[in-house]
Amino acid sequence: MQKTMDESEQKRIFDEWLNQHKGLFFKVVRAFAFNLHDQDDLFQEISIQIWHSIPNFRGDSSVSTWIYRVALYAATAWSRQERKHHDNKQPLVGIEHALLQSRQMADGRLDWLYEQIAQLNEIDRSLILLLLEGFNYQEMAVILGISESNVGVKIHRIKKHLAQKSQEMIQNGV
Amino acid sequence: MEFEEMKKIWDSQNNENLYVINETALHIRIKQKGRSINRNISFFEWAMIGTTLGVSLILTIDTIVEAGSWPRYLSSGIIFIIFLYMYGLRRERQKYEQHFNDSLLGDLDKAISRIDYIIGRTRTLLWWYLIPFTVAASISMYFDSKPFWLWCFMILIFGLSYWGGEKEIRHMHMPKKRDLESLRATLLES
Repeated sequence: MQKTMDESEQKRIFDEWLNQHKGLFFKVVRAFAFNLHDQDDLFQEISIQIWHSIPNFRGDSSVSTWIYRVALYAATAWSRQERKHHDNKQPLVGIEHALLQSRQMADGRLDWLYEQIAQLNEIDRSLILLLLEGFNYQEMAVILGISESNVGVKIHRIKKHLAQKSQEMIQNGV
Repeated sequence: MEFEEMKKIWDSQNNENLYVINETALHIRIKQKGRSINRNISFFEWAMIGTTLGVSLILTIDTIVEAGSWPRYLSSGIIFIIFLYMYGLRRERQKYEQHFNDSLLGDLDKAISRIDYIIGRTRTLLWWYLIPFTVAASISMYFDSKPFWLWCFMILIFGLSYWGGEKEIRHMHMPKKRDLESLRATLLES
């Protein structure tokens, strides 16, 4: 059952989390949505889920771990839903965007990395994001709710896949 | 490229301000959507709880005012029991949902369990809601000498509710459940 919390207190915590961890929001958004309209939509979805999760946060884990778990679940569910309804979806007209692009990425290799992440399934995508963020296997296992050995197997496979892709990129002279 | 190099590339974006957040627009969206989420989750439960409580109270008050006979008390009693049962089901669901751990797997299990709850509740609607409700209403209508067409109309409405529920399961809940289960399987596979 969701605990009750004063809305102004919830807003204060949300704003604090958003300001301190906005980079985390952006990374998840970029890994799961591939145009600005979808990125805006997913950013809102993640923000809503984070907002609703605040009364349940007990401080057992760090804030970033909590945000990652909620954001990854929201992104995974959004991604599945989006794939189904993508063809019928029309851009929203007259609605103010919550997320605006400020500038393009300077490093082309980062674009390449995001492209490779985008080709993974939702679970592998979540894992590689956590790994790149510096979470260890134990933390990843807690966030995802699976065993450390399972995390290890999956990470090994993803790293091998990425190494192979990077090899292909170098061989093609990109 | 080694993974360590990818990590360095990844970390380089920490200094980039790729997006700007329109906080006012974001808060408006959170409020709008938040309200609709809360509405959707409990709407069906509250609608049924409210309906049964309302009908039961109206029947009881009406029977007392008109000094009605025992069958009408029996009808309102049956409907009141349905109200208590539904309220209990809702409390039980809320309590059960607290058992899922804070992880992606826990979130998936919770979402699957919610769908199972909805499917189970809709499938058994006939037994714990429609039949008792029909019996209660029929008793009341028989002793009040209501016209036969009204009874037929009531059965038709209940039949349509059941058919609508089944349709909702097939087209909405089952595909969503399959989707979540496949995601869960992907998460657990080695």
